[in-house]
This record gives sequence, C-alpha cells and structure tokens, in this order.
Amino acid sequence: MSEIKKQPIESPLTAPDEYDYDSSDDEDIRNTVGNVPMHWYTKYPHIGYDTEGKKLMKPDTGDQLDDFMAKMDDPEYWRTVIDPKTGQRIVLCDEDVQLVKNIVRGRVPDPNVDPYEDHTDWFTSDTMATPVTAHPPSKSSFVPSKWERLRVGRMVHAIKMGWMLTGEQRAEARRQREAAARGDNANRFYDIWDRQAGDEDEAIRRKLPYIRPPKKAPPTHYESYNPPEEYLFDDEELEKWRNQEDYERRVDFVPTKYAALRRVPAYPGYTSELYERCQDLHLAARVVRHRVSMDPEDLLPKLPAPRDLRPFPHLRVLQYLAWPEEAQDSQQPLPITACSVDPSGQWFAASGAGGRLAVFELTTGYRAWSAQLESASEGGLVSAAWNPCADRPCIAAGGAGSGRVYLVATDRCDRLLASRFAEAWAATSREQQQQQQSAATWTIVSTEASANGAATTKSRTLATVQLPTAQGGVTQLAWHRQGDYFLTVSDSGSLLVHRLTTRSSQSPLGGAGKKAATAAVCCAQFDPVKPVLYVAEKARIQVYDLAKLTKLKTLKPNARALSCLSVHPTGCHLLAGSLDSRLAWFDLDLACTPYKQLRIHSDGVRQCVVHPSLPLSASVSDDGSCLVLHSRVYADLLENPLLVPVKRLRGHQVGSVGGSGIVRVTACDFHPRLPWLVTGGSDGRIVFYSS
Amino acid sequence: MDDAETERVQVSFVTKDSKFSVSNYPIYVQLDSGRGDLSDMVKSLLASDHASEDANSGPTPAEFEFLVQDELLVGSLRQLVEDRGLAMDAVLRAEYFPRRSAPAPYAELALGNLVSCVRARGRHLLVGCYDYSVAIGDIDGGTELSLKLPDAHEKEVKAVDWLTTTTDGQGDADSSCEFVSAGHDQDCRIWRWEAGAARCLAVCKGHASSVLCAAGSPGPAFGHFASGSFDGQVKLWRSSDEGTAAETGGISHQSKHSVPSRVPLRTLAGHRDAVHAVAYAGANQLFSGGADCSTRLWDVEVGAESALLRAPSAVLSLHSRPDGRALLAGCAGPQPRLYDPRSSGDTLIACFNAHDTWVCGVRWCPQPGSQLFASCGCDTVVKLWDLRCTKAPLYELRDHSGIVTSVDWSETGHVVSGSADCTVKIFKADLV
Repeated sequence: MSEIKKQPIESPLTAPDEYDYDSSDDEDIRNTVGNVPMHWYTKYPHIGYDTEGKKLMKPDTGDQLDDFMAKMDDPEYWRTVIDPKTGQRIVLCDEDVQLVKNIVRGRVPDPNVDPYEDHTDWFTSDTMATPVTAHPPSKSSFVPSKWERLRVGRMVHAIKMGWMLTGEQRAEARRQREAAARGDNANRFYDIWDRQAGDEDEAIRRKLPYIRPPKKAPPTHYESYNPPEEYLFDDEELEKWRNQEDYERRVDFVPTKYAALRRVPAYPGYTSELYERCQDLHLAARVVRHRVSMDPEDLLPKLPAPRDLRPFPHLRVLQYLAWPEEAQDSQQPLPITACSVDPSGQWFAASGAGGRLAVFELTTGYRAWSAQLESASEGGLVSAAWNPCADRPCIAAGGAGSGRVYLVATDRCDRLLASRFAEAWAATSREQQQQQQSAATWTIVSTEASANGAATTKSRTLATVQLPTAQGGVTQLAWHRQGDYFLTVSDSGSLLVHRLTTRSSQSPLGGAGKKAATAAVCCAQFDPVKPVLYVAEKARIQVYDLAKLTKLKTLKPNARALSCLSVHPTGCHLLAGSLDSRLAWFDLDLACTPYKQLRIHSDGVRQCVVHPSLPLSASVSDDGSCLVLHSRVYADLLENPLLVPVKRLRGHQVGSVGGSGIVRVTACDFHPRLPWLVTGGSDGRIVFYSS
Repeated sequence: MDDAETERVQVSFVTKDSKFSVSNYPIYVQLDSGRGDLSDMVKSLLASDHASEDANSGPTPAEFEFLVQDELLVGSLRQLVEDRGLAMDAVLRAEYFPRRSAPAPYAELALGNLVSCVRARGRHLLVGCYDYSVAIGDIDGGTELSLKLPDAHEKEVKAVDWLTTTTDGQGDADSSCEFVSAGHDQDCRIWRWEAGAARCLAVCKGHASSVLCAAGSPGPAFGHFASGSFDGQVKLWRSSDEGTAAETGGISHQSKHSVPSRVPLRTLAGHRDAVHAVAYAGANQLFSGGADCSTRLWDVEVGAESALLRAPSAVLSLHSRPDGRALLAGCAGPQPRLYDPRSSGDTLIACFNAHDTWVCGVRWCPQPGSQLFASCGCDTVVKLWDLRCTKAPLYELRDHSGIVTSVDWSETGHVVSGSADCTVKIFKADLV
C-alpha cells in the first residue's frame, strides 16, 4: 500500500514520452493478456501476463480500513482510479479530470479543440474577376446522363407492370394495413347498424329515406310506483276499468302504490307493449313534416323608400279658414264639401256646407270671389267641380237639399277665353230657347249683357239645372275631360248626364221605368279617354260603354259602401274608396278584382284623387288624415303598378279650433302639373301642401 | 384641472376698425362661451386699455359680433369648432366688429287687402295690393299713404317695381319718377308719379295669363323692364316713351281719352310652367324663375337663354346681388338658395336653413358690399341673414299675422314687408 502511494502511476496522457528520456521499459508494468474480458481473472491471484509471460500478480488492494484511511488522508483520493488491466491505482492529472468533466457535460472532450473557430470564407458568393478554378466545364455537365435515363426507364416500366409502387400507392397500402390492424372484424363483417355508414350504404339498405319514429309519451303520475292518492283507482273506478274494452280505457293498467321501489314486481305487460309498439312502427305510415322557418319580414313586400319617390306633397304651406266671417258668426264652422283646382293650376274652387262657393288663389290663399248660392238651411252645396276644359271656364256646384246644379262662369282665366265662352253661351242660349225633352229642368239665367250683345266676363251664374224632385239632392258631380258633359248623382241613387252645349239632361242607365233594374248609385266618373262610364253602386262598380250603351263588366271591390271613385288619366286604372275605410286600386285590363287593397285609413274614405300628370294619388278620410300614395303606372303591360304609401298628412289636426274630436277631411284635389295638394276639412279650413 | 385645460381654446382678437383694436395676442377662452362672452371679454380689454391710455378714443359700442375663422359666431365656440373639425390647439382668429342694433318696428301702413308686392326706393314705398290698387307710401310718413291709385288695374295687382328713381332721391313734389305695376288682369301699366299725382303712361298688353312678376332694368339709361306671366313667358317692354310708335307699326294709340297700349319688345319663351320671378343682373342679363323648378338666365339683347340653374321645387322669388356676383332664389320649399351664376360647375353655393314653409321673397341689402339679405315666407316671419352664417338668421321679425308675400330693403336702412294681413310693416335696421 505504501509503495503504491509512493509510486503513483501517471496517466498515459500526462506521462512523458518514453523516448524523450532515456528510461528502461522494466519499470513499466504491462499486462499482455490480450483483448479478453478481465473478469475471467477474478478467481485467480494473477491478473494477466507480462511481456515475458510471467504471471502478473494482482496488487494488494488493501482492506476497507486502508481504503477509509486513504480517503481520509490522501487529498488525491478523489482523483484516484483503478486500472482494470493492471489493478493498479492511478491518480488522474488535471487534464484528465477536465476531460472527464467535458464528457459528463456533453462538451467537446479535448479542450484544445475549438469548435467555434472563425470561419474563413474561401469561396465568396461574389463573382470574382478571375475564376478560382480555371478548367472549363465538362461536356457531361451539359448532356443528360444516359445511365440515369436508362435507370428511370426501367423504373417506369416496373411501375407500369405493377412490380414497383409509387409513394402514393405505398401510402394507400400502408393505410389499408393499418386499418386491417386496427380491427380485424371491420372488413370481415357487414355492420348493419353502423350509423357512420355513408349515404350509399343507406341507399342500399332502404328503399325509403329514414324517418324518425314518433317518440313515446313520457310517463305520467299513473305510471309512478308511488302515485299520489288521487291517481289511484277506488273501487268504482276499478270496476269501471275492468268492464271497459281495451280501446276504451284511459290507462291500460291499474295504478298501484308500492312502499318502495324494490317492492315493485315485474311488469306483466312489458312484452306485449313492446310488441304493440313494434307493430305500430311497422304498420303506421310515417311522413316527414318540414317545418318552414321564415322571417315574417320576408313576407312583407319590398317597397322603395319614400325618399326615393319624391316629389310628393309633404309640406304644409298654408292653412286658413275659407269663410272667416262665417266662422265668427257661428261657433261651429261649416265644413268644406269639395275642392277643385282649375285646369291652369292657379285657382281653386271650394264649396261649403253653408251654401257658399268661393274661388281662391292657390299659392296665397287669397279669396278672389265668393257667393252664396244656396242657404245653409237647404243643406248647402255638396259638390263643386271646375270644368277641366280651359276653353269653358265655369264651375259646377250641386245643392245638397235643393237638387239644383249651379253653373257659374268664372273670370279667373285668360280673359280672351272668358269672353269667348260668354259669347258662345249667349249665342247658344238665344238659339235654344225651346227645350227639347230633358230629364232635368234647365233654367238659363239671362243677363242684361246678353241683351245688348256684349258678353260680360265677370263671375256669375249661367244656369241652374233642377233635378227631378223625386231624386232629392245632389250628392256628387263630375265633369267629363272634354268639359261638355257632366254627371250628377242624387240622393235617391239615380244618375243623370248633362250636356252643356245642348242644355239637356238624360239618364244613361235608362228612364224611370227601368230604374228598378239598377241599384242605387253611390258615385260615378267618366273615363278620361274612352266613352266609358264607371258607376259605383254600394258594393260593386259597373262599367258601361256609352257609345254602344252596353255594360262592359262589373268590378268587385270587396267593400260594402263605396264612397268615391277616381280614374287614372290613362283610363286603365281606377281608384275606389269606401266608407268601410278601404281603398281599392283596379287594373282594368287585368281583372275585375282589385289589384291592390289598402286599409290605410282608420275611418271612412271620403274622397280619392289620382294626379293628372304625376304618379301620385291621395285619399282623405274621416279619421282626419290625408294619405298620399306614390302610384306609378308602367306602359309595359307586364309590369304591375307600383303603389307605395309615402306620406300621411295631418294638417287639419294642427291648430284646429274647438278641439271637439277629430276634424274630418272631406275634400282634396291635386294641382294639374305640380305635386301640390289642397284639402278641405270639416272645420271649414283649407290646407295647402306642397312638395 | 386637466379637464378645464382641455375645455379651452386660444382666440386671437382682431378688428379692422382701429378705434376698438386690442392686442391680438392669443387668449385662452372657455370653449362653451358664445358671442356675449367674447363681447364682454373684448369690452373689458378695451376698458383696461382706455384706463392706461387715458381714453382719447370714442365710446365703446355696446356689443360686438365675431367672425371666427370667417364664419359668423351664432352658437358657442364648441359648436363651431366641432362643426368645422378644427384642432383644439389651434389659435382661432376672431374678427370683431360692432353689433348692429336689432331691427325695431318703425311704422305700419294699412292697406285694403292682401299686399302682394312692396318695393322701396329711397324714402318711398311702392305697394301693390289685391284690392286692385297701387299705393305709394313714405317711410317717415307714418300710417299715411302719399298716393293711392284705387283702381289701377282691373284685377288684383300682383307685382310692382320702380322704373326710374327720383332725381334727388328725396321725392320732392316737383320731381317725377316712373313705376310699373302688373296684375291678374294680364296687363302691365307704366305710371309716372309727378307732383303728388300719378298718371298711367301706357298699358302693356300681350300676356295670355296673370302677370306674376315685374322688374325694372337697373339704371335709368336702359329703359326697359321685364315681366313674367303664369303662361310661362317672360316679356320685355320698353319703359321710355321713345320709339313706341315704331313698335306698334306706326299706329298711334295716343288719343285724348284712352291710355296708349304697348306691345312687348321681346318675348323670352322657354319656361314650361308659370314664371314667378324675374330679376335683372346688369342691363343685359335677366334671370327668370318658374314653377318648372328652374332659373333661366337670358341674354336680353339676343333674346336667348344662356344658362339654366336647377332647383328642387318651384322658384318663387329671385334677386341678384347689386354687384351681380351672386343670385338669391326663394323656392317653394323652406330654404333660400344662393347661386353663383358665373361658375360653370356646381352653381349652388349655400342653402340657408330658414323657414318652416315656402320662402316667398328674398332681397339683398342695397348697401354696396353688404353681406346681408332678407327673406320672408309663408310662416309669417321675415328673417335677416348674414351670408357668412347659413345656420341661423341674424334676426327674426315676427310682426305679421299672415303670410309675408314680399320684402324689400331701402337704402335708408329700413326693411319693409308686405303681408296677407293687409299691412306693410317697416322695420328700422342698422345697415352699418
């Protein structure tokens, strides 16, 4: 032990080269045992053989005490290792320890090797002026390789013949192998209950698509093992249940109460119930009910926004009392009954229930002329209509109680036209003093002007037409577009057509004898283009051809009490309002039923008008509002008219006097060219709207 | 403290009047302050200046108006800054000038019926009335009318205008002037007012419908006037006596008892509906506006249409600025519109948010270079405007009870308005 201590064998690495100094090999212990495992010598006292073939004895390793002593005393103990070849102790030098540490830490073992030495870029990426290598590129670098071509050809042939697999084929084969490995039974047996099977399998399996069976009703308190007392049968019910047939029973078992769930016996009807269920499912036909999920908004028609449909009247410009002096006299002003704008659009006439007729300037509200034609006790004037022909400047007004129609010449026009009309009227009046047979009595108001030949152009009454007394008062009055004919509808529902040039009246629907055949007329209108008359009865509209004196068709407006009609200037469309607050638009070429029905008023519609030149309509109602519709009609017969409510005008409600309920709007008329509207109300006011 | 900092803005006060000038060094002002606050601030600045300088300048005006970034301040500075999108840290340039005193009711003339048109020139008011009469009033004459022509027309008088002014502008008894009136009887009549009486010089016949408007050419040298009618035609008439015989083909209509007739010099046809307004812009240019939603510019000498300005609704009144650089139009809608007729592209400059209903009349202030105009409407209000503020009027004159059909502005600084309540009201307005 002490020898070893004195002669520690130096590490081979640190040992100086033996040729550097002159030393003998004797001292160098060398085991020449060869490349054999050393544990072969564990049972022997020697460990091998030296170069001379003598046994090399194991050195004395000392006992545990020596080892402990060495551990305690020797500071080099921690770096002392045993050479397995010779069994000698070797003290590792610092370089060896460093080497071991490097290996343990996973670093480069040799500390002299620098793995991160600076890289010298011998061949730069920059193209240099002179090449690094001077030899020219070989021909083979330009020519495809013949041997590669032959090899690829062989591979292609092998793929074609199926001897060789491509990458995709190999992947597919691998997938199949894996699938087979996952479940052996998957491919061998057909799973008829497999929900994951594709649609093809589904189609093979079934002729009809699968329909989910109806669900069984969930159990009720009757089925409970511990039902409340009221669900249990008493004797009487039990007797009744027993006497009933199966199909009569409300429940097909007797509810029974058990103290605990474990005491519930097996259900005797289990099998039969399952069997019946299967029978039900097998025999009962099933259908699929598709639930329609729809947004209610989608059902509404797509209407354009009102701002895209301008111009339309929406601005209340003027509001004034038609007869302010009358309003001062009586607390309750008498309502306006009719409004009519003159063909030039500068003036309009309004008639009142007080029997007055007045002409107003449209843009200022100035009352240019007013006259008391009838007394209020007679019922006042019910209708006023300006002659739509500019050559015949006159206004027709109908008396509600007296049954008289007043023809008033007006000077609110070109004075040349006025004087011409006055002359013509005076001339024909002289010619036709003798009345031919007429359904109504014409009374020509003679003037001193006609006596001396110079026609006056001032506003004055030209003639009065007295309807037969049996017919009662006038309820409606309408001109033909050409201004020669006008019609009156009277209280009794009879219709008369009057002609200005002949001063005669006739009943186009037949005389008094035939009157029983026709129902009471509510209102009527001429067609502006064709010789056609529209006559509204209580719940239907008759269309008559005036040239052939035949009935063309009957329109059914789905209303009970028609109140007003207005014909579109093309004569192809008709707007009808009724007292049951409906508005019906008829496309006369389309059908006898309304193209569109509008219930946009909450009370009866009093009057409706279609604008003579713009795509506008308006209706006034007892609910105090006036509704403006955009009503565009297309020349293309395949395209339906566009009806859009664009504005509800409530001008009569603003600043209305009295405050006694709703002010009814009774009359309205459009300007002939501009989107301007004038309305009259039951408060005696006139409201003028513009776009 | 931080909030208070952000709520302030720097304002630099400048003025063109050296009498009231203060230092233009920027001052922090609360963002919520309005015109009154700024006015108080300027006044206190002036007071401190006067105290230091011992006050050699005149008295300070009561109130000031402010043009902040060339826009008249109406609401608060915050509104202006937010509307214009100005940076909060920028220095606002506030030009100030003495505030005009509010127009006060000055006098009132009672007429027999709806007043359709009123035109002021000098001290004199020319009033057309729907009781078929034309009247001349004096601004200082109280309720008395200087002259009343009871049956000037056979029907309602719709338009009047001065043709020549009195020589001295004072309307003395020995001076004479001419005016035109037109009405629903389809005629225009030329009158000469002389020695306290008026004589009809000529009846201009030719329109086929009511004459709705008439305007005399600016300056006495041109000698014609224009009229527009409901039938859509604008007609030019010679207003002086010379050459009328040539127009009528040599036939003399002058007789002892009847008034001579006159035929139109030229007819300008182009409007498809009624012509509601005519206005001269210089001697050779005439604007006409009508119910066909258009304003047309006519070359008077050639008699041809040279420009067309579109409007959303019927044009009811027109007035060209005295320097001819801008045109005001009142429409059948709530907004007076300002056009630049010289520009080729978008001629509309501004719309003034004004009336509830129709604008019946618009009129520039006759002061040269003035930025003011007046508008009147069917909502019975007369409004005075500054061009630099389109949002709100300077003043609203609510004295009428009927629709205001016409408004005018005399050189003496009076605003006159005629209304359907049968009165002409005169307001004293400070034009400075």
